Amino acid sequence: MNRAQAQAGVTEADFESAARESRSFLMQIAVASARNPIDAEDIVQEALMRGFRGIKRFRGDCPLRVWLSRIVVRVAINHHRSLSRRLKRWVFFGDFEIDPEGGSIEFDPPDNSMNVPRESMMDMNKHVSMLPDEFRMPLLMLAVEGLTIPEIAEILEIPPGTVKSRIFYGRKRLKDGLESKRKRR
Amino acid sequence: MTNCEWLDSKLEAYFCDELIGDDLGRFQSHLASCANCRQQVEGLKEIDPLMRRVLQHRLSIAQMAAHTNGRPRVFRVVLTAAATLAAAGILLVVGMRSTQETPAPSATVQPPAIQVPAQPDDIKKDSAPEQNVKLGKPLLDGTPVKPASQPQLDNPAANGPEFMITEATGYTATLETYRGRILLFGVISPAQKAAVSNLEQLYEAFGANGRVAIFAVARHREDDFRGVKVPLFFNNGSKLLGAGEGEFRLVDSTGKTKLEGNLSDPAGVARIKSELGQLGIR
Repeated sequence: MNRAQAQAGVTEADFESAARESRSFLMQIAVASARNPIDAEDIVQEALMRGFRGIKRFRGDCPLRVWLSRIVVRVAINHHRSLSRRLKRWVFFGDFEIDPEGGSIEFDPPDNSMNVPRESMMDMNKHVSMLPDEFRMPLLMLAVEGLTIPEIAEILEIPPGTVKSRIFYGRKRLKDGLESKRKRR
Repeated sequence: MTNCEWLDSKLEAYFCDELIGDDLGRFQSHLASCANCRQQVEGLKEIDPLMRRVLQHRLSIAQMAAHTNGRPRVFRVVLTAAATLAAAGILLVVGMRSTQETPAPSATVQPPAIQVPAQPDDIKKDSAPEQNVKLGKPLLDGTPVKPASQPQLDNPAANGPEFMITEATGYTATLETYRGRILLFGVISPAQKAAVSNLEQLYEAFGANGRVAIFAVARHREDDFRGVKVPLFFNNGSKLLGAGEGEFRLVDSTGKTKLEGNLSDPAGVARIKSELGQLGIR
C-alpha cells in the first residue's frame, strides 16, 4: 500500500491484507519487544485488534507495518504490567516462564542448528531478558532480518542516533554481564 | 589520559559512526597496536551474531507457546475469568470467617442417634466385590495400580475423525491446530525402539525449527514411555491418517499428507530428511 492510498483512507480489506503480509514481521517485533517471548503471539493479536479499531487514526505518514509495529511495542510494554495477563500467564504458562534469577526455562527446544551450547543460550536469554526495555528492544530489533537503524528509529519513535547509542550500551551491558558470569565460574 | 582510556571514551562514538577524521585515524591505529583494546572492540562486535541466535531461539519459544496455546481464545478467557472468580471467592470466605465471632460452647448436647437400617443380605452380597475395585490409589503394599485403559479414546473408532490427539495437558489438537506448519508424527509403542530412536533423532535435528511440529503419538496410555525424548501425545479415537504403529506421516502446511512410511526403516527416515530439506526445513 502506498502513501497516497493510505492518505486516501485504508479500507478494512487493505488492513486485513497488510496485517496478513506483515504478521511474521510483527511476530519478530513482538519477540524483540516482549520481556518474555511466550507473550509474543498475544501481543501481536492485541496489536492487530487495536490497529483494526483505530485504523481511522492512521495518517499515512509511515508504512502501515511501521505503524502496526509501534502498536506492537506499546502493547508489549503494557502487557507485562497487566494483572489479568499475569494471572493468565500463571494459569497457562507456568511451565514456560523464564526466571530472571535462575535463568531456567522448563521447556527448551533443542537448538542444534545454532551450534551454541544450550547453557550459554540460556545465559544469553537470561541476560537479554534482564536488560531494560530501552536497550533490549533496539538490540533485538537489529537482529530482525532486513530491519535497519532508521526503521528501528521510526518504530521506537526516537532519533537514529539514540537508537545507535542504546544499541551500543545494550551490547556493552550484555558483554559485561556475560564476562562477569564467566569470571565467577 | 592514556591511549587506552581515550579509546574507551570514544567507543560509543565509534559504534555510532560518529567518529571521523583524525579521531578515527587515531582510534584505528591504536586498535591495531593494542591487543586489549582490540579484544574489547571485538567482544562488542561479537554480540550481534549472538543476538540473532537469541532472537531465533526466542522466536521458536514464542511459536511453540502459540502452538501449545492453540485452544480457543474464548475458552482461555472463560478459564481466566473462572480462576479470578475462584480466587475472589476464597478471599471472601477467608475474610468472612476471620470476622465472625467464635460461638460460645453450648451445654453438652448429644447429637441424635442415627439408626442405620440394616441392609438386606442380597444387597450386601452385591456390594461386597466393589470394595476390591482398583481406583488408582496405591495398594497397601505400595504397588502402584496401572491406570485403566481407555479403549474409546486409545483405539481408532470406525467413524472417528481422521486426526485428533490429546496433549499431555489434556487439550485436544486436530490438523487444523497445525495448519500453516509442517507436521511430522510417528505412532509409537514401547516395543518399537528403532522407530522411537529415529523419531528422536529427527526431533533433535529439526525440532527447533518453528515451521515444523514433530511429535510421537501413542495409542495406549498405560504403556511406559519414560525416557522418550520427543513430545508424546495420545490418540483420541482418530484414525491418525491411517498410520499404524511404527509408521509416520508427514503433512504439509495445508493439511495434505506428503509422505508416509515405516519409521524403523532407515530409508524412510532418509526420505523424511530429504522431503523436509525440499520444504526448506533445516
